[in-house]
Amino acid sequence: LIASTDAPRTDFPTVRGFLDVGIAVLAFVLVCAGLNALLPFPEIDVVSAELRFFQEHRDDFDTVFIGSSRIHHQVSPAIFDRVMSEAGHPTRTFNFGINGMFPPESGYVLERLLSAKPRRLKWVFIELDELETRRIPKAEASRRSLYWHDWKRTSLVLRKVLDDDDQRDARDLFFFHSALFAKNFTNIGRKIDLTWWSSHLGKKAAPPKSLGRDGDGYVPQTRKMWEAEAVTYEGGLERAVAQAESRPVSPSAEQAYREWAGEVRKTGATPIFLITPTTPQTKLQFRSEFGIAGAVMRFNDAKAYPQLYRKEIRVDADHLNETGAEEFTRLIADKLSRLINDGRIQ
Amino acid sequence: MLFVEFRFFWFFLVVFSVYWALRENRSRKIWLLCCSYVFYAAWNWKFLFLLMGSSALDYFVGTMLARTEDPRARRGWLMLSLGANLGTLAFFKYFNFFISSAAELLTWLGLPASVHTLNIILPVGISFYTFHSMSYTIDVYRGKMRAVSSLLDVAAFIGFFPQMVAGPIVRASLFLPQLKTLRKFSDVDVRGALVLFLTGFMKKACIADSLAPFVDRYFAAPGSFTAGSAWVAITFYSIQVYCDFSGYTDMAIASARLLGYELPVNFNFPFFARSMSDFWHRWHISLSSWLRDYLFIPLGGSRGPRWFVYRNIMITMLLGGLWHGAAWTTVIWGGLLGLALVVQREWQHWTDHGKQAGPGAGWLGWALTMYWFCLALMVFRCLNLPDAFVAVRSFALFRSDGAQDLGVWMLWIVVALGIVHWMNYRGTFANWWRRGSDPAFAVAYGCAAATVLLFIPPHYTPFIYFQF
Repeated sequence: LIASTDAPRTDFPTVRGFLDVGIAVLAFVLVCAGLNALLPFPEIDVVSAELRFFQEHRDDFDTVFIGSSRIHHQVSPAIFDRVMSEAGHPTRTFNFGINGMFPPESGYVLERLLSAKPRRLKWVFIELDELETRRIPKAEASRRSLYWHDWKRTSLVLRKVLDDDDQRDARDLFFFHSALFAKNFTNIGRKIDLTWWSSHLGKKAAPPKSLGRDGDGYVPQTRKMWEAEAVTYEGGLERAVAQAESRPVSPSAEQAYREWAGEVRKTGATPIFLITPTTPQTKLQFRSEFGIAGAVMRFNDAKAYPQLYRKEIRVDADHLNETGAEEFTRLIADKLSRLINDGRIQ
Repeated sequence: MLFVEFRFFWFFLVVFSVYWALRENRSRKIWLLCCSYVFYAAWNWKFLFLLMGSSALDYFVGTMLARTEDPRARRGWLMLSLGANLGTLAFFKYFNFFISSAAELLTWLGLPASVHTLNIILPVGISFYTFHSMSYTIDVYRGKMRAVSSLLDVAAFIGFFPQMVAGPIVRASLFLPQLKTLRKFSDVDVRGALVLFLTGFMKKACIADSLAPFVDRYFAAPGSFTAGSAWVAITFYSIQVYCDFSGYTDMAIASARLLGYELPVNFNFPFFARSMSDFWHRWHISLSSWLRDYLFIPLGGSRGPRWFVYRNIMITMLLGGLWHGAAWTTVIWGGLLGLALVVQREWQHWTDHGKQAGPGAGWLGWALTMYWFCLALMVFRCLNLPDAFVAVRSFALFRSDGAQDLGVWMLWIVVALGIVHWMNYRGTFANWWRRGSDPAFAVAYGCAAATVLLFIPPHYTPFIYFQF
């Protein structure tokens, strides 16, 4: 790296210098990649604990719901199993909904979940939504925002950012996600995992509270909306119904869901995409020219499912309370059993 | 933009590549100045004008000082520079402090006053670059150096990005001559600079930032922790401040060195100091020597009767404390350290400069120095005076009503760090990077950098000295 002679015009050792820098960069990248492969799965609050639980009980379940709080608080495995059993299709369900887990994070977790090789898996419900690219200030510095930024996920997010016409802060988002990828690839902050891993070696971790009272991943919300909240909600719903539209998912989201559906099919299970009863009435759909990624169950339709939009059973514009969640779960189970009975899904 | 951020890496890569690709010294200086301003503007571009104004004024004052021999006129020009620099510093850093302190005093005297403080943002690095700037005019005034004819040189010196925001406080007489000559890449100790940068990065990102959560936890509510926790917290904080600031300095020196410039050493194993004056020859050397040369000596220094010297020490240390932050805790911190220097001088006077001291005096001196440093630092770190009282009582008297425990076992971390530091002090790791071929060094460096990243927290913590 140190030049040995004083060249007459410039003494910067261009060729040797670049060669040595190249060697250093290569060594850096190889060590980062090696450590990345060798290190245990990052210890991320709730996510890791639930993945560990699922891994231990992977052969107990044949149905899994995966998604955000809209799954976590709204799908009751007990009710789902009862309705399915009554319809002659017994199931054993696990709710893998985690607050704030949107695609592509949910896809990353799904791949980890499937890598446990659950042998009995039959149905995998994946919450369908657009890829989440926004910066969430509260979570920006957290390891939760970092751990899923592998190349596969980051490239999806970057593609979505660059494709979106209405993305005003595209440049900022591009650098933000690129930086998270770089941090993740270079294993920044992973000493925490090593510390956790060594301190828990040989110890059995207690099941996380997020598994709920029945240990199936479902945690209902019991509160009801205040009157003022209800007025705002009803006004918002009215506007959303008036503006209801059909829209295909973005090409990057389409690609992501197609890949995840493929992963699910490899295990012998069937992927089903689920749109929960949120206030926005956008009818997200896959582009037919790419072939069908999987069956879609859409419940964000206040006209078709008015019972899910009563203010008495809602917590807010996006979430149902316990009563609503039970109603919603029954509807999903009914719909699935009908699809099975009609032979439209296997 | 912090030295530990990814974006600094890309920024420096561009600066470095273009700098060495340019062949003329003037072009290089223009490039450096532009990059320095971009670096500063990344924090807040509006305050860039303050930096530019300070550079322009001191260049102008320097030129005027060179034109006149009249002592009164020269003193007037110097006063203009000092007034503008210290006035700016006083306004941005101390305005609210003095106003609210005056209001509190009036209230205490039974004359409650309604005062309005201003919502003033402290420009990052202002304490450092005003000192850089003043060193130029004072040195020209004293005739220690000749006024520089190029505004570009003065602006590049004051704004030079590696040292602009948190030092080391570079003297004009050291840096400006370096700007005059074209730097040669063959003179650059690239390996040494790269290793120094990585060492600084490791100190800041791996050690200081990892200790920060424990320290923050304790000092958020010192009264709720045990006395043992006070010892753990202050030991951790001592290490955190040292690693944070010396880490920054290492990275600053290394960055400058990669561009062909030498900055002064700022730390020299301060935790091995055997007396308080020895400590100040090892800790933030550029500030302590600045205060010595531009404040303590002009006040009269060590000449004159003992009480006069002690007065000079106390004024210097109290103002040094105030420089660290606009709060009474920092003033008391300076006062406590000044008191230690006075006691040491008195002790040296009675023991004939330690010649009559016993064989264990060195160790005792070390223990007392560290104890007093920690005690003063406890006051420095506390958010207010009542908290400082509680923390000091807990630390010094082992008396605390708190029950929370920070974990005394964690002092083993200190022992481990201490052993590594001691080995470094003894020169165990010295120059190992010079062995082997360049490709072997490149491989080792790449591997070391990748491994270091594993140990840094996922989010960046600003440098402690940025707030000064």
